[in-house]
Amino acid sequence: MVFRILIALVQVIVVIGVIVWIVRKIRGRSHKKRSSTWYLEIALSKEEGLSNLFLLLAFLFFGMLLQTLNQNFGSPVSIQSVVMVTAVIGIIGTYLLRAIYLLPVSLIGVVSWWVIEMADLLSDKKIGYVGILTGLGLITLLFYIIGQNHEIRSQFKRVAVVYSVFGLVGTAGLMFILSTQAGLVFLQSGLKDASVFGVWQIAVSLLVLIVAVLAASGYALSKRLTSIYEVLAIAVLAVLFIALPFIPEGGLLSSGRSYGDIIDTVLGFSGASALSSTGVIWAAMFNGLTFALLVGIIFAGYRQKEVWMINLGAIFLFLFVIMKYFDWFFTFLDKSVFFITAGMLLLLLGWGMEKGRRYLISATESS
Amino acid sequence: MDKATLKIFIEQAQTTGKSKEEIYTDLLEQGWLVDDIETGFKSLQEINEGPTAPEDNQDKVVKIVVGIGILLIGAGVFSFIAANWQEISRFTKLGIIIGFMLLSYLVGWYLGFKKNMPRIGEGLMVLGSVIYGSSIFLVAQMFNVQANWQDGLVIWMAGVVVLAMVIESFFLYYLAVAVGVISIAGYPMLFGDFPNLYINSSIAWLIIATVVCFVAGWLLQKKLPSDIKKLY
Repeated sequence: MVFRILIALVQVIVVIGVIVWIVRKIRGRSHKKRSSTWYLEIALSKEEGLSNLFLLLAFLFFGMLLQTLNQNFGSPVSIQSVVMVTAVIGIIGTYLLRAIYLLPVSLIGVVSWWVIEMADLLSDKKIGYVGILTGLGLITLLFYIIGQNHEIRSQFKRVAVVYSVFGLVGTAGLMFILSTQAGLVFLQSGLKDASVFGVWQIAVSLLVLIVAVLAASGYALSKRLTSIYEVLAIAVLAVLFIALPFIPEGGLLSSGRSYGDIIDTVLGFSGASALSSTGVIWAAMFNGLTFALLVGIIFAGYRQKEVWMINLGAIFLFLFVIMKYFDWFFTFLDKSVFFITAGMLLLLLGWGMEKGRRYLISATESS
Repeated sequence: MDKATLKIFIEQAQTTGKSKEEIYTDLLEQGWLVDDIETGFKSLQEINEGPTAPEDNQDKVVKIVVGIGILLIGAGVFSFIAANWQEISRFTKLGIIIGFMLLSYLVGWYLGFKKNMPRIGEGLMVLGSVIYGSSIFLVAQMFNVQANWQDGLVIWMAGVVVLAMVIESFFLYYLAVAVGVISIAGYPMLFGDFPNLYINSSIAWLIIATVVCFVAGWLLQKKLPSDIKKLY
C-alpha cells in the first residue's frame, strides 16, 4: 500500500516537473525574436506551446476513449491495436493541425504497437526474437531518412528534427546495446529457433521496411537532401541489421549462455566473455561500426550545419568510450588502476572533445 | 566605426562564440568607450529579448505578491473548513464553498475588468478556479458520489479551460493543462498493467475532455501570427 502511494506520488511529481519545465520554456519564448535555430525551441510562442499541449491532451483523451469503448464492447481488438490507431491519428494530426507535440508520442505508439504485436506472434510459435531487432534497426534508419526528406521545405524543419532525433538516438542506442557483452548475450538468446520466415507478418514487415528505407533514401538522394556518404552509412547499417537473423544459432558465444546471464554480465560477475571465433568477429564489427556511426553523426552535423547533431554525437561518443572502458577493463584491471586510468582518460577525452566540438561548432556557425 | 557598425561587430563576435569580456577587450583596443560598448550590448539584447522596462519588473513583483496572497487565502479557507468540518451542516458547507468561489470570481472580475487591475483580478480568478476544483471533490465526498477521481479532474479542467478562454488568461490555461495531465496520468493507460488494461471511466467525460482540449488547442492556434501558423 505504502509502495503504491509512493509510486503515485513519484508519478505526480514527474508529471508536474515536466509541466513546469515546458511552461518555463514556453514562457521564456514570449517577446523574443525568432532565432536561426527556431526549430529546436520547444515552443515558438505562448499560444503555440499551449495549443500544442491542448491538442496532445485531446489526442491522449481520445486514445483512452477508444480503449474504453473497446472494452465496453467486449474488447473486439487488442489494446495494442487501439494504441496503433491512436498513434496513426496522431501522425495525421501532426500534419493537419500542425501540432508538433503529437509526433514523438505517436511515433513511440507506432513502434510500441509493432514490437508488442511481433513479440506476441513470435512467443506463440516459440520463435527467437531476433527479427524484432532487425525491424527496430530498420525503423530507426527509416526515421532518420524520413527526417532528411522533410528538409525539403523549411516549414517542416521541426518535423525533420523529431524524425532525425528518433532515428539517430534509436540507431545509436541499438548499436550501443549490440556492442556490449550483455547485448551479445541478448542477441544470442534471440537467435534461438529464430526464423524470419516462421511468422509471415514479420517477413512482410521487414520487406516493407527495406523497401521504405530504399525508396526514402533514393528520394532524398535525388532531391539532394542527403549526401551519398549518409546513404552509404544507412546501407551498411541496414545490411548489418538484415544479417542479424542469419547468424548461426549459438554462433556468438562458446558457452551456452542465456538471457538470464545478462544481469551477471552487466555487473561483471561472470568474468571475461566467452566469445566464439565468429562472436569475436561480430563483436569487433558492432564496436567498430558503433564508433564509426558516432563519429559519422558528428561529421553529418558539421556537413548539415546542425550544432545539435554535433552535440548529440559528442555526448554519445563520450558515453560510448565510458561504456567500452567499463565493458573491457573493469574485470581484469586492479580497481585503483582502473579508476585512476579512467579519470585520466576522461580528462584527456574531455579536453579533446571540448576542442573538437568548439572547432566544429564555430566552423559550422561561421559558414 | 559608427554605432550601427558597433552593433554589427558585437553581433558577429557573439556568433563566433566570443565571450563578452573578449568582445569588450577588442572594442576597447579599437578605441571605443565603455559606455558606448555597454549601450551596444543593451540595444542588441533589447532587439533579441524585447525591452526590459521597469514596468516589467513591477509587474513581476505584483504577480509574486498576488500569488502568495492567493496561496494564503486558499490555505486559510481550507484549514477553516477542515477544522470545523464535523460541526458544519452539509448545506452550510456547500454554501461556504460556492460562496467563496463566487466571491473570488466576482471580485476578480470587478478588479480586473472594471478597476483596471489585471494582475490582482487574474489572481482572484485563479483562486476561484482552485476553489472550484476543490469543491468538486468536496461535493463528491459530501454526497457520496460514486465516480472516479480522474473524472473529477476532467470536470475541473473543462471549467478552467472555459474560463481561460473567456478572460484570456494564460495562467488559467496552464492550470487547465496541469489538471488535464494529472487526470491522464491517473488513468492506468500510461503507468498501469498495459496488456490487461481496464479503464474504469465514463465515456461521456472522456468525450467532453477530448472535445474541450481539442477546441482549446484549435482556438489558440487560430490566434497565432501568420508566420508561426505556417510552420509545422
